[in-house]
This record gives sequence, C-alpha cells and structure tokens, in this order.
Amino acid sequence: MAETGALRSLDMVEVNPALGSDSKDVERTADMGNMLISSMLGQRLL
Amino acid sequence: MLQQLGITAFTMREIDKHGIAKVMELSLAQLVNSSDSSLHVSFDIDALCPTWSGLTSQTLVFSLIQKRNVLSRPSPDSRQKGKGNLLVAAHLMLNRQGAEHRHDCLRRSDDARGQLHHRIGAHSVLHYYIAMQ
Repeated sequence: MAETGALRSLDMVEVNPALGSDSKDVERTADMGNMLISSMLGQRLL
Repeated sequence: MLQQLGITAFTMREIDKHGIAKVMELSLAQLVNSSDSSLHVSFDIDALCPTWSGLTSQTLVFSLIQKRNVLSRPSPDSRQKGKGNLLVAAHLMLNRQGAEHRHDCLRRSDDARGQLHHRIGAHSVLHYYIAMQ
C-alpha cells in the first residue's frame, strides 16, 4: 500500500478499546491498529 | 449488489487460491493506474476479531502484519480454535475527486465459515478480505 505512493486518506474503524475485558486485550487491539496504520504508511521491518 | 454496481471484489476464495500478495497486486494494479491516482483505505479492525476476547494470540496478530502470506495457516495456538477471530476485512476505495465514501463491514465466524455477511457501500470500488485461522 505504501509503495504505491497513492494513499491519501485512511480510516481505521471500530477500534474501541473501551470494550476490552482486560488490559492485555486493550493493549493488543490498540497495538494492532497502530501497526496496521504504520504499515500502510510505510513502516517496514527492514 | 456487487455485480450490479460493477464493483470488483475479492473474497477468501481468491485469497486462498492466489495468496494475499497476488490479490493485493491485482487490486492495486486496478486502482493505481496513473501517477496521480489517489487511494482511500477504510480498514475495519473490528472484523479481525468479532469478540475482543478472541485476540489471544499475539504471534498470530504479528504474523498478519509482518507476514501477509500466513493466511489460512492453522493457528499455532490451539486456544484460538473455535473462537472465531478469523478475519480482517479491508476496503480500498478509489477516492477521486473527493468522492464520498462509506465503510463496509464483513464478519465471519468459525461455525459459519464461508458465509460472508456484507454491508456494501455504494461507492466502494474494491474490497479485499484477509482471513487467518
């Protein structure tokens, strides 16, 4: 996605940590959203 | 509805057959066809995990991000079985001229494998679905 250079806008929807039953779920969900966004913006492992 | 609106859509059938890399390649080739192409992405993270408690395997979560070809691989964590956190739905929409967009949802559960429930936005150009189990 990032490699296309065409991404202009991005929704990451339904991220609602308030629904989490414990802190790990909340953290994992938030981290997942962050990772997905970062990846689409060009973050890579190497 | 997809066919009526001329929307190109990829489901798990194509992803299982070709892999996500190929599906992404086909998707982007169709959507990004000039140097000034613009994309809007609407990503429904809710579809990753229908129940929040289903996010139990950090390895699997990371695998999705770092290795997009892990799709359909059996979960290394037996606790995952039957929990139904199978699916990531993502939606790419061509956003020319600031076109209005809506986001769509897709969910799939273990006991309803293959039964996809869509809410289709009229302005969507392409959907692709990533599932893992």
